[in-house]
Amino acid sequence: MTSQRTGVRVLAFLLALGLVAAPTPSTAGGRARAGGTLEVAAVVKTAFSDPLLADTPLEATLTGLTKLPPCRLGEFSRPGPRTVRLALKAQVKASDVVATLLRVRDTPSPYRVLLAPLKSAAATSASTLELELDGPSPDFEAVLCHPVLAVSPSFFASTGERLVTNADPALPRAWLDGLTVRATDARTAERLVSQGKAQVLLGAERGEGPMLYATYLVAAPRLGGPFAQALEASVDRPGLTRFFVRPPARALTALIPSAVEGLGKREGAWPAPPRPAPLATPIELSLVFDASLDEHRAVAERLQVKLGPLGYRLKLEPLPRPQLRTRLASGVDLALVGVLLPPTPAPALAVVLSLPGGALVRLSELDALSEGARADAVAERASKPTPNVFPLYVQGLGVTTAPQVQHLTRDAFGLPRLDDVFLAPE
Amino acid sequence: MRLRWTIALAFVALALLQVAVVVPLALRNLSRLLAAQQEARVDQMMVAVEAESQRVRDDVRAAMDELAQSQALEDVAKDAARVPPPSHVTTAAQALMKPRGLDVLALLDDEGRTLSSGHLPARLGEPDDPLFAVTKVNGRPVVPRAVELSSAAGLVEAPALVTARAIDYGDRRVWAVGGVLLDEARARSLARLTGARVEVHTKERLVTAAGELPRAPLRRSVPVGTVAEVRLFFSGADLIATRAEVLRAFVALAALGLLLAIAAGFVISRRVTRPVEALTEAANQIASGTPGVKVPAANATGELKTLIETFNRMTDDLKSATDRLVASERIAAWQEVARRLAHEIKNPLTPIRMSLETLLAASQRGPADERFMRLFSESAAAVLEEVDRLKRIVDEFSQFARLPRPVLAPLSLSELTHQVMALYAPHDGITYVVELTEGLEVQGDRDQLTQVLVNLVKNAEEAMAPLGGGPVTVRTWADGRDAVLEVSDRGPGIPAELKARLFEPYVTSKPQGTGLGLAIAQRIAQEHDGRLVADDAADRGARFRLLLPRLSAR
Repeated sequence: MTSQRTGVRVLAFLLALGLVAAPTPSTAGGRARAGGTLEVAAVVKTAFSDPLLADTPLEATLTGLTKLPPCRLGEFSRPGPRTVRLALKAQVKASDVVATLLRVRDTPSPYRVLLAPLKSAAATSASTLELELDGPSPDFEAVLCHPVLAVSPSFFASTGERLVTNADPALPRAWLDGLTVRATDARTAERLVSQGKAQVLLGAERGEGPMLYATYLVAAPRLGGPFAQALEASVDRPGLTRFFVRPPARALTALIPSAVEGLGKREGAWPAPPRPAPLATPIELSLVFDASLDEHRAVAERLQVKLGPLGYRLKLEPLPRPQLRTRLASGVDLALVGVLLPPTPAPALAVVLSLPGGALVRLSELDALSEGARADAVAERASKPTPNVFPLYVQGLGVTTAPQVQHLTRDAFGLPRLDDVFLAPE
Repeated sequence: MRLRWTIALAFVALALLQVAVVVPLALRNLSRLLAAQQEARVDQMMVAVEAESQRVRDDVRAAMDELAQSQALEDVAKDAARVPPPSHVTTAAQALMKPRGLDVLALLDDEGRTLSSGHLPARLGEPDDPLFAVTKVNGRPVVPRAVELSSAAGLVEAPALVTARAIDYGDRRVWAVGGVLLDEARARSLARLTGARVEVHTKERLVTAAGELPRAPLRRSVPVGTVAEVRLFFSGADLIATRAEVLRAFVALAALGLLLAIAAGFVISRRVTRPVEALTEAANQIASGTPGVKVPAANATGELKTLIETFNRMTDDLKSATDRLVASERIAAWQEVARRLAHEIKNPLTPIRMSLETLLAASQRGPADERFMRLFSESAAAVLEEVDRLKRIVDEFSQFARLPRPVLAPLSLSELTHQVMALYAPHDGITYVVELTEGLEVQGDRDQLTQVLVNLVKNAEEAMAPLGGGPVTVRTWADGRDAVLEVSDRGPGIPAELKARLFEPYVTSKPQGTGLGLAIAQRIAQEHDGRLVADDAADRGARFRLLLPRLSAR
């Protein structure tokens, strides 16, 4: 049983790495010749240029057009059990990659924990960097594929309103000559696609691919079990997801979603506790959430309605994402937090468990386990409720394309690879 | 205070009194009037508010009637029972609400659960008892209700005007409860309509407000059922401005009236007091010895004219009487002078006659011998002495009669006294004590005042000579408006029988005196607008005081 699960995980991981590897013209036999401009309509309200902030699937897709995570910039090797070497192929300085990694490690965000194993990072040459780890951290190379670690360059370079294929000879050339991205609302985006003015709609209500953008309610530890009981008894996750979250989305009843490798069978509905009596003395709690995400506002209001009768009066405090992360690190009453989880279980679980108060959860003990035992341990831990991190739902990125858009693949995070797309002749 | 000023001030006081009484009264009445007008204006505004309220209710009623007939709501009713409800049901309220101008819309099933909520989408699936209660109200009126909304501060109740409509699909019934919030937009609209500050209050809090809080606001309240109260604060600025304007006008008019009163007071007081002043001036002239002064009665009327005419008749009578008296006194005086002169001249004539008769008898007795010659010498000496006496009498009389008018000039009485007394030296037991006060400027004739002092000193010396001398004390000082020159002696004093006639010519207690010295001094004092008084000294002797008006007191 364990070996089967391990085999599936390995297969999935290899598939993900395969998606990471860029296609070359030689592998695109049978395709139409390269060229053309892809018109993209994106349902997005706020644009972040900093990959560390652009962590929704749609935002990460857009920043990924001009920035690539380290794992796509070269090849890893392990000169020692605790050393990871990255030989860069792209025309990017190793020192820039090191600086990005150190910045992510030191900036308050849910993603700091991903680089917690990183003891030191140094550029050994212009195109090589070595990362010293404080343990074996077998998932570390996979972690380096996370979009929040992305650095320039990518397959496209920005020239005003249009993105053109980068001339970086070290990277495989994209099939497209370029693409344009138009940020708009959902209705306009759908109209643009239906009218043929855009070939790709990012943020559609339907789409395939893994769902890894998970939203959690983080509660202050002092609220304890009574609040957890009130929340679990009053919040109907499927209903919440169905009526208040933009699809594609799914209720999340484990700490990490089933899209994370190997956890599919463990995810299930937690039994709802009995509805508690309302608090004798109502308490006021401040619920902070991301002001740029409409779903988070709707969910916050739903929680307000649901928890109010039980004596929890929620004051809503929408915050810009950078401030939200700072507040989260300094402690809050309640916070709605969305994170793009890595597809590997241990780092994903570490991200989730590190959400309250910014304390980094290393899960080091997992390193000592065999691969199978490790997966079991993660799955076991992920299926247990926590008193202060409540999974609510998980979202993916819905994408619809016009018929002429061919070969749209997704990476391990479920993000569409627009650099891999080509346009079929009309 | 002069009568003219008194009358003028009386006019001013009267005008001020009028202002002090009239202005507050007028302002109070004006304020009442303006306040009443303001109240009337506000009442008109409140009628407009009521009309606006009715319009809003009508709009809500019309919108909900139209919504109840809409196909969209029928579709909702058709699919309301589906589990899970399709998204066109759960999001229907938001889509249907805004185009119809509604702020509140809840679609409820027959048990009061929320199928869709436009104003609080998060209530989906939850009961909404306050809005469901509206469905139980007969007649489907627009009623006030507290509607729960999500806000940064939590779930809050906001006042709204709502009505309910039922939509039936088969045996299924869906309720649409919708309306408008009494929110900031509504308050702003009302504030624009009325120009007032509008506040919407629930029992617990201020829900919203629009418009600036005016100065001196006039407050009106409109209850919205039991859920809220709309308070309107109308500006009292117009009232204040008008009152200030009127007050300024009043002040200006009062100031003008005051000036006119002052001017009129002066004119009238001058007109009234001019005859009185003329009478006063005439009386003063008469008092100073100018007889027959008349006051023109042309400008006077009434009692004043009668008074002037009476005064003029009185001065005429007084002048006639005075003239007669003066003539009588002059005759009497001349008779007295003639009698005294005859007496004085007659006294030396007797020794002269006796001397001459003695000589004549001696010459008839024989040739001149030694005895005759001695007798001749004695008789001649006696005759000469008496002739000298006659001459002196005649000279002094002449001097008294021909005393010139004084030539007045400013001079220091003390300095003059000092200069005169410097010429005196003690002799025959007579000593001089001089005590002077600096200054004492008077208007006088230096020679005549010198003669007065000399006469008084001489009088003192002669008084003390029979007693073997004594101190003559000369002092000057200021006594109110007068400068005083006092000469006192330690002689026998003034005989009681002479006190009343001391300054009459030829009245003297001394054997060799002519009785003209003090008369001359008295006359000089009178010519200087002064007076000469005499009394006994405190312990012994006589004391004469010359009182002259000081220059500084004029």
